[in-house]
Amino acid sequence: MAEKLLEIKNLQTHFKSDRGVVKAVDDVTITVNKGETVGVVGESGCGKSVTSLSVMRLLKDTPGKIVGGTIEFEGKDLAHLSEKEMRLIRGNDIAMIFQEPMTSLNPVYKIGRQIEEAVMLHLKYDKKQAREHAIKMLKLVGIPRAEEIVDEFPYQLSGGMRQRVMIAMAMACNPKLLIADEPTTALDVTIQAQILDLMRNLSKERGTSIMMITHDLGVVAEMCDRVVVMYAGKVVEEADVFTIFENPKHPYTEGLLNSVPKLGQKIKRLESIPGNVPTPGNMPQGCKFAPRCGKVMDICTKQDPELKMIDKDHTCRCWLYQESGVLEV
Amino acid sequence: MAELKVNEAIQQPVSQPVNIKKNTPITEFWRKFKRQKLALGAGVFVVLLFILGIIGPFIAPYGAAEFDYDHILEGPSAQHWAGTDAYGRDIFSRIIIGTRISLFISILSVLLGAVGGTVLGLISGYYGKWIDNLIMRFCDILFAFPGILLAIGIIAILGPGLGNVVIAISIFSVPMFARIVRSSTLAVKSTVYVEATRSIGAKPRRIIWKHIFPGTVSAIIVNFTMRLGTAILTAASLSFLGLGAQPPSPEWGAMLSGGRDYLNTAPHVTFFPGLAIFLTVLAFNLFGDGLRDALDPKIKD
Amino acid sequence: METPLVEVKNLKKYFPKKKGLLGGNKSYVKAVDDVSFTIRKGETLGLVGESGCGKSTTGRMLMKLLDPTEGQILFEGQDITGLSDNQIRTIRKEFQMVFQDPYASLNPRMKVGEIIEEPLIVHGYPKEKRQERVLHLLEVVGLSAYHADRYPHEFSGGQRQRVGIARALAVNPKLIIADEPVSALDVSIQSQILNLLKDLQEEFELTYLFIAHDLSVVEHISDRVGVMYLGKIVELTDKETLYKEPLHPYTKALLSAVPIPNPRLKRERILLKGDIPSPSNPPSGCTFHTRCPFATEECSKKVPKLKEIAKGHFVSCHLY
Repeated sequence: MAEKLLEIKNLQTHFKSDRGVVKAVDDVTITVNKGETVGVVGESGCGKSVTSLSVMRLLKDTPGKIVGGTIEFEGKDLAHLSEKEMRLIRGNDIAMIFQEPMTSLNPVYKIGRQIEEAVMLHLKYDKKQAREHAIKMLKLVGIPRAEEIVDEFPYQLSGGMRQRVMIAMAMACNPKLLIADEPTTALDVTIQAQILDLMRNLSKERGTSIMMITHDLGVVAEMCDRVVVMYAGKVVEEADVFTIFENPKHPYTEGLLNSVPKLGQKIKRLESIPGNVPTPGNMPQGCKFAPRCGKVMDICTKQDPELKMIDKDHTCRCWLYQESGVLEV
Repeated sequence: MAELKVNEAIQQPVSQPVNIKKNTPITEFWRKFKRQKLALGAGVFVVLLFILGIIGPFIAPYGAAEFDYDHILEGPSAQHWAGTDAYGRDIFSRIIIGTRISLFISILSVLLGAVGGTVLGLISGYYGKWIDNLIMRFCDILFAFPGILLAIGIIAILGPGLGNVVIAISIFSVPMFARIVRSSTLAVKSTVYVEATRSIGAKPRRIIWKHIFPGTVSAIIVNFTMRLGTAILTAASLSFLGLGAQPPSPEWGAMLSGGRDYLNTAPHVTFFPGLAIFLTVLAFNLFGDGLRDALDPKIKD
Repeated sequence: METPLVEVKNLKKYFPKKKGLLGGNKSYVKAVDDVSFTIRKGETLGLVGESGCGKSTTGRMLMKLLDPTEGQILFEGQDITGLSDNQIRTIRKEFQMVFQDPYASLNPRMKVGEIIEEPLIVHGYPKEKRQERVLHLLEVVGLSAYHADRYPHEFSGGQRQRVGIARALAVNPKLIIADEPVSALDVSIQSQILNLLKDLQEEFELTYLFIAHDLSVVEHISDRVGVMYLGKIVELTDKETLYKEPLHPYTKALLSAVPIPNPRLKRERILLKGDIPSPSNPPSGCTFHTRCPFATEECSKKVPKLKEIAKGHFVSCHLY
């Protein structure tokens, strides 16, 4: 059995607004093993990004709060660490890259300085060592003229280059876990291919685990070992990447897979999931997917199913695979 | 470390079609505005002022020109809440009655300025090119003078009097509105929905009035409110200098002017009109601030 | 031969870029540089390419939202490039646009009913029939009558895009230019909109120019596909040929770069070197030669012409 690095258990993160409590993340369980790439898939508002922000504990400036569950990382519960202890982990053991590389880089600092900052803080390098390290990292992520780029500002780089810088920054302290929140969504296809390739190689060489948050099933198929599918703040299915794509059990996963057009595939119409993604203020009763589900049963609209093991390493939250009323914990 | 980005889940509109609560822009505005207690208080004060402006003369305990030589320059008492002036007139009543003048001058002048400035700003922002240059340089020239100096200059040409005060204030309000409207016009003009409207073949006039103008209204309202405060202050200053309302008019600035000879012996004669001006200007500014926060789509909850 | 609905000839759009303090020494961003294609009645032509390739600019020129620097746009045989604003307004009825961002393309201050009604007003539809038409359109795009009284912010992205489509359909256009109509939408909603577009095409005999960066989506919906790179069309053919026998090295790279949702599929991937060059300073000769694995000396010197090398298969590359 693989060694666990991060174990999120029954995480609940709620947002308070004057219109009521929004359960952005409501019962999420995700395990990331050492050296593994786990994909977290879901549509907007499914809570995938809030989950990552909860792990990083970056919710301080938002109305969001972790109200339940644990986030175990190497024996420590991140959900209950102090801000000071958390700061030692952020950027050091766990690093994060964001979707929009322009807004995640500080426009007024030179690129080198932004990398050096983290290195000096966590690895206790002096100025000169840090600079050398920054150049080394930039070379590692395939940036040409690294010695010059160190002294340039973010706006002088293209989108793909900026995302490389972000990765260099994230990898600078050799983190054990890299959380990538839609890292290639803002990039062009040919650049996306480069960045994905880079991330794959880095994780292989350095044994870094990646938690890859994305809505793009193609990216998931190419990058991930295991896949977690989220819907409306909950994990609805989890399995290895082959099972998810070839033998999906949850009707939502199935619908999602069928609704993407695939290159070279000749079909007249795509299958689509009817209806809209539910918004926090308008959550249906029972199973959150029930109103859009083609296999909906009576029980679905009344009671929310549990996430249950239905096969080896394959969990699913659906009444089709569990007996109603008999809830197992 | 990378900065925090607000998650999409939070930004999703909470209300959905098949719900009970109707979510119009007005209810949305009210929801945001009522949270700002200070601005709400200022708003209530402003509303009271307007009511006072309408019914003031009927509820004032004394008339504006009711002389009482037995009680001159008396301090505040139960009979005369704000004391009396050199002619024994009740200062409290005069302030109440004067509210109408102050509000009337400021509203009329700012309204004229806003209309002129909005039209110029819309033309300038939408058509751009030379007409934009012409209008903006004209505004720059007006901006080069300090407001009150410009007003004095205009009055010097037109002659003193309330009507000319209105003209003076409206003229120096024009460039401010023109600039603000121009910048929101530019912003709205570049939105996709304006492009979408162009793509269906709409004429410029329709685009300007149906799409761009409504987009600038919130900026106009906010500045209108803030400008009212300044206009009251300017009108009072001009009257104080003897260029606006003339005694015995109960205009607040004129009252200040009338009381300045007794500053040492009877400070209340200037204090209370001054307080009225101060509170009114402050209320308009706070109210305007609150409006801006509630109307600005960039300020999310 | 039947006149194509739209014929674009040598279309160019150069945006001036001021250089130097005095504005002299002008340089240009060549957003669209010599693009020619035709759109037949009833077909869907896809334009695909990465950012800065000029696909949206091309769409906007067809819509006359931008004036071309050079070249001609023929609509049913009539040149519309030289027409005045007033003349164009009557032809406008025939082509409408669906925009990328359903959040930004609807005026937040107008009710959905008013938004859909607007093209009817602009094109002088009789007043008493407008309301009826709006309700009909809402139904056509899969919304309900009561939606007319609501504001755009009360809708989800997919529903807003439906409103955008209803607006485009209002005056019975012949051509709809769809600029990235699904890229801002969630995966499960994308397919709804794609299916809706297909249904509408059949029902109203529409012609589409479908502009997108997502090759899988373009391939799914289009009959023919044009691949653009830095302001030029590098390959144009029907979608089967494009997928099975891509000729231009850029098309090949693009096809291999698209992530495919099948974990078993292990493909030979062509990873392109470097970034997309800026259109303000495009490489000499063939603009792709800086990233092309097959580039020869000729490529950096001579601009390749778009040639028909098989029936209906156009490629712009020195290799062919």
